Amino acid sequence: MVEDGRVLTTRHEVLGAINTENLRTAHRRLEGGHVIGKLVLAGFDD
Amino acid sequence: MKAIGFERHLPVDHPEAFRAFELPVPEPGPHDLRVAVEAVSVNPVDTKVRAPRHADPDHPDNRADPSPRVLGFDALGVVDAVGAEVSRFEPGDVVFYAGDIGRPGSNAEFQLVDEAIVGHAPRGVEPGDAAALPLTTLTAWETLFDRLGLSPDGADAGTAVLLINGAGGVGSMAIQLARAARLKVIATASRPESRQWCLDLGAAVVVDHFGDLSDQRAEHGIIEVPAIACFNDLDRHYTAMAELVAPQGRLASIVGNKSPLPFQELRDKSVGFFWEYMFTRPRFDTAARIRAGRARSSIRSRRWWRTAGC
Repeated sequence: MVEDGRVLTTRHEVLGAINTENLRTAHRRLEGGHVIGKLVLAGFDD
Repeated sequence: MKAIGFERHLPVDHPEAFRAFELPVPEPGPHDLRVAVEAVSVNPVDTKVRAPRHADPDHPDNRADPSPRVLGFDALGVVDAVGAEVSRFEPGDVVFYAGDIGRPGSNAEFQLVDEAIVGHAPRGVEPGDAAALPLTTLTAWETLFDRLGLSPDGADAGTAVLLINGAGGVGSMAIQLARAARLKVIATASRPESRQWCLDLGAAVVVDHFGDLSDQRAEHGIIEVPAIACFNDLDRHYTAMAELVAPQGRLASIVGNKSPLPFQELRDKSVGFFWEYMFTRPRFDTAARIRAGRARSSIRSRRWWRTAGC
Protein backbone atom coordinates (compact mmCIF):
# COMPACT_ATOMS: atom_id res chain seq x y z
CA MET A 1 0.00 0.00 0.00
CA VAL A 2 2.95 2.28 0.63
CA GLU A 3 4.77 1.27 -2.54
CA ASP A 4 1.72 1.82 -4.74
CA GLY A 5 0.98 5.18 -3.10
CA ARG A 6 -2.38 4.27 -1.54
CA VAL A 7 -0.84 5.09 1.83
CA LEU A 8 1.56 8.00 2.31
CA THR A 9 4.12 8.33 5.07
CA THR A 10 2.88 10.04 8.21
CA ARG A 11 6.35 11.48 8.85
CA HIS A 12 5.81 15.15 9.65
CA GLU A 13 9.31 16.17 10.71
CA VAL A 14 12.85 14.82 10.76
CA LEU A 15 14.51 16.15 13.90
CA GLY A 16 18.08 15.13 12.97
CA ALA A 17 20.46 12.39 14.16
CA ILE A 18 19.61 9.71 16.73
CA ASN A 19 21.23 11.38 19.76
CA THR A 20 20.32 12.42 23.30
CA GLU A 21 19.20 15.95 22.50
CA ASN A 22 17.01 15.06 19.52
CA LEU A 23 15.38 12.23 21.48
CA ARG A 24 14.76 14.64 24.34
CA THR A 25 13.12 17.09 21.92
CA ALA A 26 10.88 14.35 20.51
CA HIS A 27 9.84 13.12 23.98
CA ARG A 28 9.18 16.67 25.18
CA ARG A 29 6.94 17.39 22.22
CA LEU A 30 5.01 14.13 22.52
CA GLU A 31 4.50 14.74 26.24
CA GLY A 32 3.19 18.22 25.41
CA GLY A 33 0.58 16.87 22.97
CA HIS A 34 -0.51 18.47 19.68
CA VAL A 35 2.10 16.58 17.63
CA ILE A 36 1.02 16.18 14.00
CA GLY A 37 1.97 12.88 12.35
CA LYS A 38 5.29 11.29 13.28
CA LEU A 39 8.63 12.62 14.50
CA VAL A 40 11.62 10.87 12.92
CA LEU A 41 15.34 10.70 13.72
CA ALA A 42 17.88 9.34 11.26
CA GLY A 43 21.57 8.36 11.42
CA PHE A 44 24.06 8.47 14.29
CA ASP A 45 26.59 11.18 15.07
CA ASP A 46 30.18 10.38 14.02
CA MET B 1 28.19 0.50 19.59
CA LYS B 2 26.44 3.75 20.42
CA ALA B 3 23.11 3.52 22.20
CA ILE B 4 20.87 6.12 23.84
CA GLY B 5 19.23 5.03 27.06
CA PHE B 6 18.78 5.76 30.75
CA GLU B 7 19.64 4.26 34.12
CA ARG B 8 16.81 5.98 35.97
CA HIS B 9 13.25 6.91 34.95
CA LEU B 10 13.41 10.72 35.00
CA PRO B 11 11.42 13.77 33.85
CA VAL B 12 12.13 14.76 30.26
CA ASP B 13 14.25 17.81 31.16
CA HIS B 14 16.45 16.05 33.73
CA PRO B 15 20.07 16.01 32.44
CA GLU B 16 20.27 12.22 32.85
CA ALA B 17 16.88 11.40 31.31
CA PHE B 18 18.73 10.63 28.05
CA ARG B 19 22.33 9.41 28.02
CA ALA B 20 24.70 8.03 25.41
CA PHE B 21 26.25 4.65 26.22
CA GLU B 22 28.92 2.54 24.55
CA LEU B 23 27.51 -1.02 24.61
CA PRO B 24 28.72 -4.34 23.15
CA VAL B 25 27.28 -5.26 19.74
CA PRO B 26 24.65 -7.94 20.54
CA GLU B 27 24.83 -11.50 19.16
CA PRO B 28 21.67 -12.75 17.40
CA GLY B 29 19.71 -15.69 18.83
CA PRO B 30 18.46 -18.45 16.47
CA HIS B 31 15.45 -16.45 15.16
CA ASP B 32 16.97 -12.99 15.42
CA LEU B 33 18.11 -10.51 12.87
CA ARG B 34 20.81 -8.07 13.88
CA VAL B 35 19.88 -4.79 12.23
CA ALA B 36 22.13 -1.79 11.65
CA VAL B 37 19.60 0.92 12.50
CA GLU B 38 19.34 3.85 10.06
CA ALA B 39 16.20 5.68 11.16
CA VAL B 40 13.70 5.56 14.02
CA SER B 41 10.45 7.26 14.88
CA VAL B 42 9.31 8.17 18.36
CA ASN B 43 5.94 7.09 19.75
CA PRO B 44 3.97 8.02 22.87
CA VAL B 45 4.82 4.55 24.24
CA ASP B 46 8.49 5.65 24.42
CA THR B 47 7.56 8.50 26.75
CA LYS B 48 5.33 6.25 28.87
CA VAL B 49 8.08 3.67 29.38
CA ARG B 50 10.63 6.42 30.17
CA ALA B 51 8.39 8.36 32.57
CA PRO B 52 9.32 8.58 36.28
CA ARG B 53 7.73 6.00 38.61
CA HIS B 54 8.27 8.22 41.65
CA ALA B 55 8.65 11.98 42.22
CA ASP B 56 12.05 11.52 43.90
CA PRO B 57 14.66 10.88 41.14
CA ASP B 58 16.72 8.75 43.56
CA HIS B 59 13.81 6.55 44.63
CA PRO B 60 14.46 2.82 43.95
CA ASP B 61 11.27 2.66 41.84
CA ASN B 62 13.03 4.88 39.31
CA ARG B 63 15.86 2.40 38.67
CA ALA B 64 15.78 1.17 35.08
CA ASP B 65 15.50 -2.57 34.48
CA PRO B 66 17.50 -3.60 32.58
CA SER B 67 20.01 -0.81 33.06
CA PRO B 68 20.73 1.01 30.90
CA ARG B 69 17.33 0.73 29.29
CA VAL B 70 17.42 1.49 25.56
CA LEU B 71 14.13 2.72 24.09
CA GLY B 72 12.93 3.01 20.51
CA PHE B 73 10.26 0.83 18.88
CA ASP B 74 9.92 1.80 15.23
CA ALA B 75 13.02 1.37 13.11
CA LEU B 76 14.31 0.95 9.59
CA GLY B 77 17.72 -0.58 8.99
CA VAL B 78 19.88 -3.05 7.11
CA VAL B 79 20.21 -6.67 8.23
CA ASP B 80 23.80 -7.09 9.41
CA ALA B 81 23.73 -10.72 10.68
CA VAL B 82 21.11 -13.46 11.06
CA GLY B 83 20.53 -16.30 13.56
CA ALA B 84 20.98 -19.94 12.50
CA GLU B 85 17.25 -20.58 11.98
CA VAL B 86 16.27 -17.35 10.23
CA SER B 87 14.53 -18.19 6.96
CA ARG B 88 13.06 -15.03 5.46
CA PHE B 89 15.94 -12.55 5.59
CA GLU B 90 19.60 -12.34 4.79
CA PRO B 91 22.35 -9.79 5.42
CA GLY B 92 21.86 -6.69 3.30
CA ASP B 93 18.04 -6.77 3.37
CA VAL B 94 16.42 -3.43 4.22
CA VAL B 95 13.79 -4.04 6.90
CA PHE B 96 11.42 -2.18 9.19
CA TYR B 97 9.52 -3.19 12.30
CA ALA B 98 7.76 -1.95 15.44
CA GLY B 99 9.95 -4.01 17.76
CA ASP B 100 9.24 -5.78 21.01
CA ILE B 101 8.53 -3.91 24.23
CA GLY B 102 10.45 -6.56 26.20
CA ARG B 103 13.81 -6.19 24.38
CA PRO B 104 16.43 -3.44 23.94
CA GLY B 105 15.12 -0.82 21.52
CA SER B 106 16.09 0.84 18.28
CA ASN B 107 17.91 3.88 19.67
CA ALA B 108 21.17 2.01 19.10
CA GLU B 109 23.51 1.37 16.18
CA PHE B 110 22.59 -2.35 16.25
CA GLN B 111 19.42 -4.03 17.45
CA LEU B 112 18.23 -7.63 17.66
CA VAL B 113 14.70 -8.40 16.50
CA ASP B 114 12.83 -11.69 15.94
CA GLU B 115 12.26 -12.17 12.22
CA ALA B 116 8.59 -13.00 12.91
CA ILE B 117 7.81 -9.33 13.58
CA VAL B 118 9.88 -7.85 10.75
CA GLY B 119 8.85 -6.76 7.28
CA HIS B 120 10.85 -5.88 4.17
CA ALA B 121 10.92 -2.10 3.88
CA PRO B 122 8.84 -0.56 1.10
CA ARG B 123 10.89 0.29 -1.96
CA GLY B 124 11.30 3.83 -3.17
CA VAL B 125 10.57 5.37 0.24
CA GLU B 126 13.07 7.43 2.29
CA PRO B 127 14.38 5.57 5.39
CA GLY B 128 12.80 8.10 7.76
CA ASP B 129 9.50 8.02 5.90
CA ALA B 130 9.37 4.23 6.30
CA ALA B 131 10.54 4.33 9.94
CA ALA B 132 7.51 6.52 10.69
CA LEU B 133 5.14 3.71 9.80
CA PRO B 134 5.25 0.33 11.58
CA LEU B 135 3.83 0.85 15.08
CA THR B 136 1.12 3.29 14.10
CA THR B 137 0.17 1.35 10.97
CA LEU B 138 -0.30 -1.87 12.93
CA THR B 139 -2.24 -0.01 15.62
CA ALA B 140 -4.46 1.75 13.08
CA TRP B 141 -5.05 -1.46 11.12
CA GLU B 142 -5.95 -3.48 14.21
CA THR B 143 -8.21 -0.70 15.51
CA LEU B 144 -10.24 -0.37 12.31
CA PHE B 145 -10.40 -3.91 11.06
CA ASP B 146 -9.88 -6.20 14.09
CA ARG B 147 -11.46 -4.19 16.92
CA LEU B 148 -14.12 -2.09 15.15
CA GLY B 149 -14.79 -5.02 12.81
CA LEU B 150 -14.84 -2.94 9.62
CA SER B 151 -13.95 -4.50 6.30
CA PRO B 152 -10.54 -3.59 4.83
CA ASP B 153 -11.60 -4.51 1.30
CA GLY B 154 -14.49 -2.13 0.67
CA ALA B 155 -17.42 -4.31 1.86
CA ASP B 156 -18.38 -1.51 4.29
CA ALA B 157 -18.03 1.27 1.71
CA GLY B 158 -19.79 4.44 2.81
CA THR B 159 -19.98 3.44 6.49
CA ALA B 160 -19.06 6.34 8.77
CA VAL B 161 -16.14 5.99 11.15
CA LEU B 162 -15.23 8.72 13.67
CA LEU B 163 -11.51 9.02 14.45
CA ILE B 164 -10.78 11.12 17.53
CA ASN B 165 -7.43 12.90 17.18
CA GLY B 166 -7.06 12.32 13.47
CA ALA B 167 -3.79 14.26 13.11
CA GLY B 168 -1.69 12.24 15.57
CA GLY B 169 0.56 9.35 14.60
CA VAL B 170 -2.10 6.63 14.68
CA GLY B 171 -4.90 8.90 13.48
CA SER B 172 -2.90 9.99 10.43
CA MET B 173 -2.56 6.38 9.34
CA ALA B 174 -6.10 5.38 10.34
CA ILE B 175 -7.54 8.12 8.10
CA GLN B 176 -5.64 6.73 5.13
CA LEU B 177 -6.47 3.06 5.80
CA ALA B 178 -10.14 3.94 6.32
CA ARG B 179 -10.22 5.96 3.13
CA ALA B 180 -8.57 3.07 1.23
CA ALA B 181 -11.34 0.82 2.64
CA ARG B 182 -13.86 3.33 1.21
CA LEU B 183 -15.24 4.26 4.63
CA LYS B 184 -16.59 7.75 5.28
CA VAL B 185 -13.94 9.27 7.54
CA ILE B 186 -14.94 11.84 10.14
CA ALA B 187 -11.77 13.01 11.92
CA THR B 188 -11.36 15.36 14.85
CA ALA B 189 -8.70 18.08 15.02
CA SER B 190 -8.59 21.40 16.83
CA ARG B 191 -6.03 23.59 15.07
CA PRO B 192 -6.01 24.89 11.46
CA GLU B 193 -2.79 23.03 10.64
CA SER B 194 -3.95 19.69 12.07
CA ARG B 195 -7.35 20.13 10.43
CA GLN B 196 -5.75 20.65 7.01
CA TRP B 197 -3.47 17.64 7.60
CA CYS B 198 -6.55 15.43 8.18
CA LEU B 199 -8.25 16.71 5.02
CA ASP B 200 -5.09 16.17 2.98
CA LEU B 201 -4.89 12.55 4.17
CA GLY B 202 -8.47 11.86 3.08
CA ALA B 203 -10.90 12.78 5.85
CA ALA B 204 -14.34 13.66 4.44
CA VAL B 205 -15.27 15.81 7.44
CA VAL B 206 -13.14 17.33 10.21
CA VAL B 207 -14.73 18.42 13.49
CA ASP B 208 -13.18 20.09 16.54
CA HIS B 209 -12.68 17.67 19.45
CA PHE B 210 -12.58 20.58 21.89
CA GLY B 211 -16.01 21.76 20.70
CA ASP B 212 -19.37 20.09 21.32
CA LEU B 213 -19.36 17.04 19.05
CA SER B 214 -23.16 16.71 19.13
CA ASP B 215 -23.71 20.24 17.79
CA GLN B 216 -21.13 19.70 15.07
CA ARG B 217 -22.76 16.41 14.19
CA ALA B 218 -26.01 18.20 13.42
CA GLU B 219 -24.14 20.79 11.38
CA HIS B 220 -22.61 18.08 9.16
CA GLY B 221 -25.80 15.99 8.92
CA ILE B 222 -24.27 13.05 10.78
CA ILE B 223 -26.97 11.09 12.60
CA GLU B 224 -25.15 8.22 14.27
CA VAL B 225 -21.76 6.67 13.84
CA PRO B 226 -21.47 2.87 13.91
CA ALA B 227 -17.73 2.87 14.63
CA ILE B 228 -15.69 5.28 16.75
CA ALA B 229 -11.99 5.12 17.61
CA CYS B 230 -10.32 7.18 20.30
CA PHE B 231 -6.63 7.95 19.79
CA ASN B 232 -6.23 10.48 22.61
CA ASP B 233 -7.64 11.31 26.08
CA LEU B 234 -10.35 8.70 26.51
CA ASP B 235 -11.58 10.26 29.78
CA ARG B 236 -12.37 13.49 27.98
CA HIS B 237 -14.08 11.96 24.96
CA TYR B 238 -15.87 8.91 26.37
CA THR B 239 -19.22 10.65 27.02
CA ALA B 240 -19.40 11.98 23.47
CA MET B 241 -18.42 8.57 22.09
CA ALA B 242 -21.20 6.84 24.08
CA GLU B 243 -23.71 9.43 22.87
CA LEU B 244 -22.72 9.47 19.19
CA VAL B 245 -22.32 5.72 18.65
CA ALA B 246 -25.13 3.99 16.75
CA PRO B 247 -27.11 1.14 18.37
CA GLN B 248 -25.10 -2.11 18.09
CA GLY B 249 -22.06 -0.08 17.12
CA ARG B 250 -18.50 -0.41 18.38
CA LEU B 251 -16.09 1.81 20.26
CA ALA B 252 -12.32 1.28 20.40
CA SER B 253 -9.54 3.02 22.25
CA ILE B 254 -5.77 2.85 22.10
CA VAL B 255 -5.39 4.99 25.24
CA GLY B 256 -6.34 3.92 28.74
CA ASN B 257 -8.71 5.71 31.10
CA LYS B 258 -7.53 7.46 34.26
CA SER B 259 -10.97 7.48 35.95
CA PRO B 260 -13.66 4.79 35.90
CA LEU B 261 -15.89 5.01 32.82
CA PRO B 262 -19.70 4.58 33.00
CA PHE B 263 -19.98 1.48 30.82
CA GLN B 264 -23.69 1.02 31.59
CA GLU B 265 -24.34 3.90 29.18
CA LEU B 266 -23.52 1.47 26.37
CA ARG B 267 -25.95 -1.20 27.51
CA ASP B 268 -29.24 0.09 26.08
CA LYS B 269 -27.63 0.41 22.67
CA SER B 270 -25.81 -2.96 22.93
CA VAL B 271 -22.57 -1.22 22.06
CA GLY B 272 -19.24 -3.04 22.28
CA PHE B 273 -16.08 -1.45 23.68
CA PHE B 274 -12.71 -2.75 22.51
CA TRP B 275 -9.16 -2.02 23.60
CA GLU B 276 -6.33 -1.95 21.10
CA TYR B 277 -2.73 -2.56 22.15
CA MET B 278 -0.24 -3.27 19.41
CA PHE B 279 2.06 -5.31 21.64
CA THR B 280 -0.66 -7.84 22.52
CA ARG B 281 0.24 -10.10 19.60
CA PRO B 282 4.03 -10.09 19.96
CA ARG B 283 3.75 -10.41 23.73
CA PHE B 284 1.31 -13.30 23.86
CA ASP B 285 2.51 -15.08 20.74
CA THR B 286 5.97 -15.09 22.27
CA ALA B 287 4.62 -16.49 25.52
CA ALA B 288 2.79 -19.22 23.59
CA ARG B 289 5.98 -20.10 21.75
CA ILE B 290 7.92 -20.45 24.97
CA ARG B 291 5.15 -22.46 26.66
CA ALA B 292 4.93 -24.81 23.74
CA GLY B 293 8.67 -25.31 23.96
CA ARG B 294 9.06 -24.98 20.27
CA ALA B 295 10.88 -22.48 18.26
CA ARG B 296 8.33 -21.10 15.95
CA SER B 297 4.66 -20.37 15.61
CA SER B 298 5.05 -17.16 13.76
CA ILE B 299 2.83 -17.81 10.76
CA ARG B 300 0.11 -15.75 12.30
CA SER B 301 2.49 -12.93 13.05
CA ARG B 302 3.88 -13.05 9.56
CA ARG B 303 0.47 -13.05 8.02
CA TRP B 304 -0.45 -10.20 10.30
CA TRP B 305 2.43 -8.19 8.91
CA ARG B 306 1.57 -9.00 5.34
CA THR B 307 -2.11 -8.34 5.86
CA ALA B 308 -1.23 -4.92 7.16
CA GLY B 309 0.23 -4.29 3.74
CA CYS B 310 3.60 -3.07 4.97
